[in-house]
Amino acid sequence: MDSMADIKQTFFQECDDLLGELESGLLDMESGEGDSETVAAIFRAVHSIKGGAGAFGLDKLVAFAHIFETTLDEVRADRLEATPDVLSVLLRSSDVLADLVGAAQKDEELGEERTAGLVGELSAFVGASADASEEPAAVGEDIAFAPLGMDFDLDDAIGDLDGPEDTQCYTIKFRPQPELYANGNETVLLMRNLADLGEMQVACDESKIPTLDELDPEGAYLAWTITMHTSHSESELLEVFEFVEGDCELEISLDEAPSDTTESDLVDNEATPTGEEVATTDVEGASASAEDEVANKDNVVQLAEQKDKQKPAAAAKASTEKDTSDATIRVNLGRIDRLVNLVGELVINQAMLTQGVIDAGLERGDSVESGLEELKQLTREIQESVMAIRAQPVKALFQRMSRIVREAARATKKSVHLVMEGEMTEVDKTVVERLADPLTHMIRNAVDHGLETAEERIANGKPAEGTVSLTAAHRSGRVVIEVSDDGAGINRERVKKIALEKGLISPDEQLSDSEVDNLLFMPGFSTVDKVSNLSGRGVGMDVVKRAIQAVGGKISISSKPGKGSTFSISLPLTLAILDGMVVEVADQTLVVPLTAIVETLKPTPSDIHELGAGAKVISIRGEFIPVIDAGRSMGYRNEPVDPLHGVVLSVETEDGARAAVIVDTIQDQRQVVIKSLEENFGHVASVAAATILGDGRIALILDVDSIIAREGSARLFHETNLAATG
Amino acid sequence: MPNSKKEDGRIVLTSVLDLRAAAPLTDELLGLRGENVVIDASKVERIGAPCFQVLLSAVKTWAVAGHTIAIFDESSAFSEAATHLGVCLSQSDKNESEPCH
Repeated sequence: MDSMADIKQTFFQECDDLLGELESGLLDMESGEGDSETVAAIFRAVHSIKGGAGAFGLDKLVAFAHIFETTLDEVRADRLEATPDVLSVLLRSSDVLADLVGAAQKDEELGEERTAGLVGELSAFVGASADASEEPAAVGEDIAFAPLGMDFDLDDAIGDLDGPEDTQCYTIKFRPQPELYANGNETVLLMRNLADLGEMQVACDESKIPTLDELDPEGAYLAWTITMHTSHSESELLEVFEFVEGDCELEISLDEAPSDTTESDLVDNEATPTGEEVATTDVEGASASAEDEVANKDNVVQLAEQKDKQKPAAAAKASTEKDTSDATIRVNLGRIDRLVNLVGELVINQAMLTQGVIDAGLERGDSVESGLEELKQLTREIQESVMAIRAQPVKALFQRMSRIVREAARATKKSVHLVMEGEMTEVDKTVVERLADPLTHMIRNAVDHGLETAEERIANGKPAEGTVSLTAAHRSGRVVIEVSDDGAGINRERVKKIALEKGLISPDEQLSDSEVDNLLFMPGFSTVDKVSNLSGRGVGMDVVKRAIQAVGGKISISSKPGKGSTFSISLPLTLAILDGMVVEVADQTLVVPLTAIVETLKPTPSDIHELGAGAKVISIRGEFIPVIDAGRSMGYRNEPVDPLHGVVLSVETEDGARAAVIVDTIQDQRQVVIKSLEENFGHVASVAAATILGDGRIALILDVDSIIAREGSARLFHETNLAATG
Repeated sequence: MPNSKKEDGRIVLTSVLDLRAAAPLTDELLGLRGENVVIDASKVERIGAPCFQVLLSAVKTWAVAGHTIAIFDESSAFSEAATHLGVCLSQSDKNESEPCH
């Protein structure tokens, strides 16, 4: 940390995490899954934000966090019941806290009106003792000690503001088995290593020692209870026992630190804590644990009493969890991107090397070939590991959506319950970031248009509260995110009527239910009769679809009248590398994403059927599938190729549309590095991206969905023209 | 392998008292049962928990039998290991059931 700006930046990064924890905890409480541990965790989150904000003089943030924290403390102490009403206010408070953090990050001020109402509501929960008018003074003095921690890392700074939390007290119970000694390990060494981590008191249990004639010299009779005061985490303590884990009984527990009580006392009871007081407590806490065992024991007794009152086992667990999460480092995204790019180059280089080996005409089974195979495996492993670094759970994204649901529900005066599943599903960070806008729009749509009003729902025999589900899961190498509602489903008649009015379809067009549903994604389509504050912002589902496609995803829709609708987004795990089939079409090399290919086949004359006007279909196991000549579709040739002279790739889009794409030959199946055309050149129809092949040539990656859609609409246009002229 | 030299109820502990030294030390101590024993720990350079177990067991055995056993002239390595393990080898302390660490 070399400057205040850096520290501040870290603070805001911390805030992101803390706000996530806060919202996640509140949602758990709302769904009835929360317990005292959850309350303790959310209290700590708000408290940490307040502490850090104080250090940077973000007074508005501190003031709001203070009353928020005070309310949470009432809940924590069981003086305030977490009723749905209370939780609703707490959730809105977490939204406002997030906004305050966001505003502070941009050096902006959030309008008083955003906080005033909530401060009133929170104060009402806290009661007369939390008279809002007294808050600024309390807050001002509360943060007087803040600058103490500014000359080192923010974690430590916040830790200091929180109280002397950096020294924790652990109890380690350790009972070796005879195997521990037989395997060459030694308790003395373990103790010595532990002693390096902090101050410890060792109590040896000698009660199991037998008399000499009964003693097995290689047995294990001693056990130890170690009280450890350390700034190191539990995981670091565990590391000491890393090599003996299977050969002993080991239990490490975090004791409620004396400093915690003091700190919460200051927060809870002292209206005007000062820096001096905190500093003194800090020193006392340390010296008590180090030197004065009796005093320490007194502290333990006091803590035991506190435990019953405030259930700090929860806090202990929260601290433990914090320790576990400490085992991470923050890395500049640019560095990771550079690594990803380098791995991409490695894949290309490896492909080139493979090509070189093939060209050299080495014999099969040659050591170079087997070495190359190993290199391939290794490259793939490196690539997967690097991608895993970029992978992020969608949890943070989903949590943002819970706020969208709350706001949408309030705006539409609907009662909505959001169900989230699979939040820990991991997706590439870039994908997660770029999903926020489309997902926001879809969620708003689901609440605004998908769900009926409470009256309509009751009339239809449904519960008044509507449900919107947001789920994520890995499915055959892709991530599928679904937004569902249990609303009325798509009104297909109305959709058709609007599409007709807007000239998107012809009057005599026969459309399947799925085709009608997909009209929603057509540019210029909008079913809203009136522009609402929510979804009617001129952003149609076509924009959502484009945004999803831009990250290599596909979106589909399914709907059942009266039951609701489901929008399903299928995303690639990574945007950097894909498994593709390298094919040749009219002397051009193309790559077809493997995920789109169902099967490949060589057709026989009886499989191909003419459909008039040059259109062909192929019969595959009794199903007729339209034939698309990739060469013509891409503009490589004008004359259609005879399907019998090529290879058929049976492909399928995400929404189930199938086609038989004719290519000349299949060359290979391999991993290719995706190079964006949009970024380096511009959008090209039917092309998803480009790649560099082993021989250094550039090959285009086919956008199968786009080809099928284009061919489909071309045929539709052709048939419509025929009908009109005929 | 002799662990120590016997000098009229006196044992001089050898420098390395690891797991392999535990059995010979046990045998040696068992050979001195019925006598008052003094143990010279001045030569100890390394000692592990198993040998401390043997010594603790000896202290217990001698106490039960009503004889004395005492460790004297502890080397710094011996003292340091005993401190790390929190073991108490003083027979009088044991008799008084006082904590010893």
